[in-house]
Amino acid sequence: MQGKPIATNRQVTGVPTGKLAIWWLLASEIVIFGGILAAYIMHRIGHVEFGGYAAHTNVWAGGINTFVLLSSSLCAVLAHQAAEKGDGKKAFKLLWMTIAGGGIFLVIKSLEWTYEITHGLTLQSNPFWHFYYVAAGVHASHVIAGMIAMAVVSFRAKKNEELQRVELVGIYWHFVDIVWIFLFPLLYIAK
Amino acid sequence: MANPENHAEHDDHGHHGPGYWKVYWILLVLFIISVMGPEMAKWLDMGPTMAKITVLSTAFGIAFVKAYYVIAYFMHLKFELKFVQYMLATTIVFMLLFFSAVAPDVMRHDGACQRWAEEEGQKVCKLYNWTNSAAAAEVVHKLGVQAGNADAKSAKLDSSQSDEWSSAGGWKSPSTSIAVRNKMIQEKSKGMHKSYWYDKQQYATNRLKEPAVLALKGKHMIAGLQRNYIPIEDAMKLVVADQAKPMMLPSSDVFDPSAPTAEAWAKARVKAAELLSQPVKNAEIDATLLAKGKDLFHGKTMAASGQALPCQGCHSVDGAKYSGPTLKGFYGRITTFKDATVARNDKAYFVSSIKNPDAQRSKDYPDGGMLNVQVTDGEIEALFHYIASLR
Repeated sequence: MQGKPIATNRQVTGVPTGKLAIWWLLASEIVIFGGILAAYIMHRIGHVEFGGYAAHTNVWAGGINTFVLLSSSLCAVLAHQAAEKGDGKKAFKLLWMTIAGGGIFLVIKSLEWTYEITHGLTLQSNPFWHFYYVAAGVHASHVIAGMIAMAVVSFRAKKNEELQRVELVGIYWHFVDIVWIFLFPLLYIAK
Repeated sequence: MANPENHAEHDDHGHHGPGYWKVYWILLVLFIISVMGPEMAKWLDMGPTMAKITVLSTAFGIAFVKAYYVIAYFMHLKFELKFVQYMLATTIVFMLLFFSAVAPDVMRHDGACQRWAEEEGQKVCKLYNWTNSAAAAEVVHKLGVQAGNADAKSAKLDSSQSDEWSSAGGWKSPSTSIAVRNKMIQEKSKGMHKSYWYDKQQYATNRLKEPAVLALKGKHMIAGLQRNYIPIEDAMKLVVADQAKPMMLPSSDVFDPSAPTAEAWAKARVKAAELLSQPVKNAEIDATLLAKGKDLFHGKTMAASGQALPCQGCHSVDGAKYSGPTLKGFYGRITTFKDATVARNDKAYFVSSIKNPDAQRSKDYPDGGMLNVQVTDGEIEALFHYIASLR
């Protein structure tokens, strides 16, 4: 394993290098999503008219998506548990259940957006909808990225190779879940 | 294969905290509470303060608890080395820093009051030292969008309007200033809608009466007025008054048999060239009147009507292009009018431009573009001395 440039269990800091890289990735993600959320919150507090716009979002779509992401996070962490026990086949199955969760999330999101856009609520409608589409859009792109990363990791895991990576994609996926945990009340519940 | 050392380390994790399935059930219960909380607040009709506390604690408070469970037990950050936790906490500090640095500007619509006045026994701010013109434009934009959606349903406009605003008020802030402002915007918006539908007959025949067009004009006007530090309340009043004025169709809109012919425009160009070759005499400027006019123009002193003049919102004095013509070099400038006549700008034209802007209109600017301003003849005189001094 020595000298491999990719996520391995090598460590000099007490944390495996690959895992440390994931934490750094998340640190930069916090700044990206933090900036969007902070800007949204200050507008939400400073502009009374935002509450009226938020009333048009679909709590059901947002709520089901929250449930889907929470469940997919469980699958991701169970995949990690299976990988720890060296059961790559089980990890493979659970990773694909996680990917399926991401797929369901995206399907619901696209149905929701189709409805909203055809009803005239577009990116250009007003500042609330700017934030709505940008925040949820950047999040959805992370969901897609996570799905691709998990698919790549899953095929190696099936052959019981590089099992430590299962935890790494899992950590990333949980972060995507956490962002949605905050986006859901901000965009759907606070009216 | 998993590193055996790492393997043992991970097994160790399992002994900390609840199992994954247990965490999942906790998360689901929390999720249900976060959805039900705000709904309960609505059903129980617990009043704005209690409702706000309920929404904040269930929707947002629980979001933090949920995030904690995911971070601690799914991401195992609780069992990670301390420096990783500090690293992530640092980025959150940056986010808070960003928020606290930017929020004061974004969350307020105007700055501290510079000039107070007494109106009907109440203290009213006449001049803020800064105003968020983007927020003002947003209010106008919202009105425009609503008016556009309500097209041909004018009778329903007022009720749909109040629906929208009551839903906005559903999450009221306890701060009086925001509540008062909310009310104020509500009142203004009603006024603006009345002016959009001022004369339905005219609307039917005049395309320019379309709400979206009016809102766009109002938006530009407000942005211009804000540049002049006119408080949003006064800017709204001016726009509402302006939109109640009848508006003329631009000549390009319909076939107008009295419109100048191409030949007339050609003659106008020859006339303009002739005028350009003739020497021009500067106006005689009185220094006292110039100073008075300058303060009036820039809104530093109030006009006799009690209004700070909005001139510099649309007219620059340095040649910059705003929505109205620049006043640099106004006196003696050659203007081609809509009827294809040409003349050098003189004092009489200056006076008529203020008193009756559409009587003699430059071909480059639309009718109704100039605001009606309340000024006395003396003030016009003073303004003239200032404008004529801008060469």
